[in-house]
Amino acid sequence: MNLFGLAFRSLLNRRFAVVLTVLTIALSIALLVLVEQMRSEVHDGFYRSVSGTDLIVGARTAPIQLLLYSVFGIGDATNNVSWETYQELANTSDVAWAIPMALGDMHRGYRVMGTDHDLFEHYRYGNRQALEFAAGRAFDDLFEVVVGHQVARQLDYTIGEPVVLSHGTGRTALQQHEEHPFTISGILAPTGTPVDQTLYVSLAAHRAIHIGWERGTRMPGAEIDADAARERADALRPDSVTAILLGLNTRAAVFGLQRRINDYRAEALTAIMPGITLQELWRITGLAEQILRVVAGLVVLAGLLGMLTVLLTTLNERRREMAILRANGARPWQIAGLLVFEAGLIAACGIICGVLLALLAQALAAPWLLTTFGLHVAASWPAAGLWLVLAGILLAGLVIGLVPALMAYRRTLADGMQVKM
Amino acid sequence: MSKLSVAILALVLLLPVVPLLAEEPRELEWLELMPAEEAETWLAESSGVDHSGFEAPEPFQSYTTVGELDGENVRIPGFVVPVETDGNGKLKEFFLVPYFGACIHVPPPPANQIIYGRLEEPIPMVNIWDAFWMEGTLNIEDISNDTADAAYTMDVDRLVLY
Amino acid sequence: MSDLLRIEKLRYTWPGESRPVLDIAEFSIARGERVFLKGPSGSGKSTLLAAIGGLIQPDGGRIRFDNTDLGSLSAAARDRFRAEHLGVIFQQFNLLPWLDVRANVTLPCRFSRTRAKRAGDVGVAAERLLDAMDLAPEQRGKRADELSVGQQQRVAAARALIGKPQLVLADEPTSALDSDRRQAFIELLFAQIEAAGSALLFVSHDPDLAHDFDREVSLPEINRAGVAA
Repeated sequence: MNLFGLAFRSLLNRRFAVVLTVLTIALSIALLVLVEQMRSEVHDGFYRSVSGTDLIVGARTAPIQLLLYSVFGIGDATNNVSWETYQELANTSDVAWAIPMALGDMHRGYRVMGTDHDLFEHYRYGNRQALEFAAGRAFDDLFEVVVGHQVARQLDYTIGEPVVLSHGTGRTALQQHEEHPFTISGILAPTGTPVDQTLYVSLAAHRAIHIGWERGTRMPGAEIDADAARERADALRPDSVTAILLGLNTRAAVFGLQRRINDYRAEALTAIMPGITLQELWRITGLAEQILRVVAGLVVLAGLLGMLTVLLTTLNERRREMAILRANGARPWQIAGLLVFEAGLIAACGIICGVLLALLAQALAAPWLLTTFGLHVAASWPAAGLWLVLAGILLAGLVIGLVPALMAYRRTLADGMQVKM
Repeated sequence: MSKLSVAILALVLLLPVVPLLAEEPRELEWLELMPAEEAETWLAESSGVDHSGFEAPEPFQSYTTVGELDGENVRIPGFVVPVETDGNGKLKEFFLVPYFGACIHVPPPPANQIIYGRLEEPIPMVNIWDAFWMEGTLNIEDISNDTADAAYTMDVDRLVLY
Repeated sequence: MSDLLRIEKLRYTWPGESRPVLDIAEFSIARGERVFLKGPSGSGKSTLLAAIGGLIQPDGGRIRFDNTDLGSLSAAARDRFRAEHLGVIFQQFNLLPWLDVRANVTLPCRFSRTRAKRAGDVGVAAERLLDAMDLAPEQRGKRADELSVGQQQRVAAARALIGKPQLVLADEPTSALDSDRRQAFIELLFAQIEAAGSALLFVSHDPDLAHDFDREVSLPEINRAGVAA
């Protein structure tokens, strides 16, 4: 098309300023896209992790806190649930299965969870997915550990490899349990949930590690060696668990059971419905998300205004060009249209580069997000709704182009083919 | 007039009638889901129940349902409690309850005041603080449980903001 | 045969000015005629060209071009008319600096399909004209601002002539050239004007160039508005 070709070559002539403008818009668009996509990825990732659990029970604490430390390994519990209460819960008639979680240990930055075979049998995530083994099997022997996919990948672990577990939840372990090296019996298939970042041992093993720690610090001679521990395996169980995931026989019973757990007089407990508590979490982060969106929008506006500035400042220089075009038969609206096209081209290039930049940023950040937060972020094209927003931004760019276009229109009407320079 | 013209005219005149023949979902109130006798005894039994354990006290967890509603195409307003999502965080199965929030001063809704909704096509996650109209075919399903008889479920056609 | 261009009782005052810049009783150009219009700066040369080009509307009088009254046309129609029937050469800065030579030459054809059709194969017509204007082939792919002033003026002439317009308006086209090149330019221009059958209105203040033209007209003599102070 006539005007399009002229607009393109005109922009090419002012490459430097145009590239800077395109870059400004691209950065602002990348910010906008990233904010939206990260938000939806984080939300999706969290939902994927809790799908399939009816209730999560822990010592009395804020619901969001319980959700975060039990499922996502973010933060720590301040209190535990007694073994007796856990047993009673597991034996309640409404309860189909109960997965105990004993937390508090770390292995080279990844958390270690004491649990039992109910985890491998009953835990569900995503679209009713059960846990699968990429290699090996669940723990059998006392000192066997199952590791999540990311743990195996990052630490380069294979079946049969020995690992040492540490007390506490810091990244660097000052106190090591050298007496009880574990061997890896299984590596789980990737799930895209915090399961990938976790190591799993039996509850008995969890207890065995802590014999000798009753006074809060390591007492020499008080630990038992591996074989002695194996013999006492049946008697070894923790006196408490940190959290319990419950699946019910009748889903509708969840409301009543939740109430009764929260009202339980023998021990202070909190029971949460993950779907509800997640939304409460989003409500808190929602404000920050909204602010981020507004900021991103303002940055886009700044980018477009930068484009306006560039187009306006060139208007004066282009009076001669406009006179030449008019002399050769161009109509005033065509000259104005040239400027609108230029604005549109700049905005379109900015948007495309911005989307590509966002993709690149996601691809680069994905590994870090996975290892640090257990967040599975796939570098993906914007969703349909976001494309609509981007189309709206293109439209805004064209509208902004109307400003210099109208000025050019009036100027060329007055100038004709002579320019009084 | 030719036969063809008559046929076309008849078709055109009948067209407005077609939507009327399609079944409109019946608008339901929550209390209609509870058998009449139960509503009366419910009030009488609400005092003097043991709260100290996890087990469900029987009068509260009765799953008695109103049989005639089985298979009906109904429309009922309520709040959503998400239960299951698909792999992409979209809502697949949920509870519809008559009021929002587990207010600690009021007991949770009895089983026949809860409808378990299933969506064939998962929809983007909804806000738990918004009220919704749920439309679909109400079913009464048997539950194998010693305290329960049956519970309400629904194959959800539409979930729209109130 | 009727005149190609006929101007009668033309009056024009620039907006905001108190005195008219043009007040011409009668002026005409025959088909294929080469007219030298001389006048000092301020005598209204550029304004007259703007009026013939349809870029300004006279306050009074009539401009008939090939039996069309320019005053009866809308602004858009006048732009179309100009694209179709006229070629324009300025004193300098004729070309879009960021387009190559060939794209500059074919510019008028972008704005009038009729003119493009008259040119036939636009690219071939451009090459022929550039040959005739003596522009070396290796210059033709370059950006317009890479050429010398003399080369640019010859390219401008080629552009004005593409598609065989009926009238070429030249506003001091040789003033920026070296004096010894001026005559050569005019000879090249004349040759193509004749080949195209176009008329030429050549405006200049240098009377030495007038000798080969069909007619010499003094603008101050026909323009009663006189010279601006």
